[in-house]
Amino acid sequence: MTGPIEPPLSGPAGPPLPDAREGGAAPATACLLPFTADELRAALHHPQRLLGIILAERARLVTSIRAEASLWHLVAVLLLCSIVGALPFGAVLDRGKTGHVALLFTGSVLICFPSLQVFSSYLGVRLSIAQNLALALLIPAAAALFCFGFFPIYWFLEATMPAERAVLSAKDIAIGLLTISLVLGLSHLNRCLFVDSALQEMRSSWLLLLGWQSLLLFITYRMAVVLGIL
Amino acid sequence: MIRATVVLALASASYGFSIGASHSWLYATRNLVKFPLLILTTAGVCALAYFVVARFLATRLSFVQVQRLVLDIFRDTAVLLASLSPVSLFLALTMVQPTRESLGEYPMFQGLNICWIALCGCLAVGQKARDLLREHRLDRPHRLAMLTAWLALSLFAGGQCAWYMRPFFGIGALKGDSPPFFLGTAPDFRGARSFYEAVWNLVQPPR
Repeated sequence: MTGPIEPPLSGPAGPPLPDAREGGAAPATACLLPFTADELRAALHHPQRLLGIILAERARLVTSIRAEASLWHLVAVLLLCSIVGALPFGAVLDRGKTGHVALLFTGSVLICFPSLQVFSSYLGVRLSIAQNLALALLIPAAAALFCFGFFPIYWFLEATMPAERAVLSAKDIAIGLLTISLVLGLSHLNRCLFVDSALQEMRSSWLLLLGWQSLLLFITYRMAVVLGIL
Repeated sequence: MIRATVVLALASASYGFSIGASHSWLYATRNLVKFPLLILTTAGVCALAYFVVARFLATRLSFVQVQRLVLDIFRDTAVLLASLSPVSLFLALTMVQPTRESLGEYPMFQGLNICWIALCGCLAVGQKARDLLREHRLDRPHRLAMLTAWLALSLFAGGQCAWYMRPFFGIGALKGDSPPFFLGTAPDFRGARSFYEAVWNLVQPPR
């Protein structure tokens, strides 16, 4: 393997980045700078960088949320990613309901978001609305990216599996893939919360997190029923 | 990458030919196209998912690098299998052919080939894991998680791909038949019409 390593998200003059192995590199977190507005804007022109911002560079993502640097830009990027990333899977699932997968993940999170904000404030977690929103939107954004990765697989399975009801139909597999995407989205949020000691406050109220994520799962299930996905 | 693809196609065609010969020359020649197509389709369908998984596991590998790594694994597997194709061809031509009454040595042939595919796949993945450590400084848990996820994705999509493109080799008692190039969603002897149904039927045989 002699291919070039992908250039840093911030360009040559950007902040220092960890080496190829970033996962589990919590000690390096302290020296990382948050994403700048320019970087986030550039990611919209180069969507492949969204994967880096949302999935790969956890430590910088958490630093951005903690430092509230360009936070509304980050929220916009997460929201956009949540919607656009889920569209291809939605289109393959049902062409007439292209937006339903985006609605399933993003809509459920937005419905549950006020409860996260109010309960966390009540329990003394000092995070702003933008910080909580960014954390909450990590779930649909990561889930949407996984859906984006899975959509060619689902398209292939749907094209090669019998259309009529069988022991296991393509729709069952779609539900399985959507579930996996959601679970990975939730796990991504939890990974982000555990990567940085500065989010200790949020982590310490684990009961709040557990309760809110359970609520989100329930609402997502209901949303799937309402949208006709289940 | 082009070179790896060409090597992969040639090596997998060679192995496909040898296993197809257990049934007939028709199957063997068809496998010259079908086996490379199986591997390349699986790699193509999973390409995006491989990349998203690599990103999720916090590697800084680019899309092209991920595809190159995956292609390397498939190529190595195909080359290892190709080295076994003379053995496989020999066994295919000399095994006790199944008849209407008995399966002959067909289960042995099938079992050996499954073992070889598993062995070659594991060897190729193990080798690539060492390369990832050396060239990309990925630590052990991330290497294992990424390669395991890639394997799971390949099995998930590749299983259905193989099912749709079947038959690759089959029971000799069916030699008189001339099945289509791909059987597609045609049911098997247990009634399964997809890979997942076939696995389900193995776990819980239909009454």
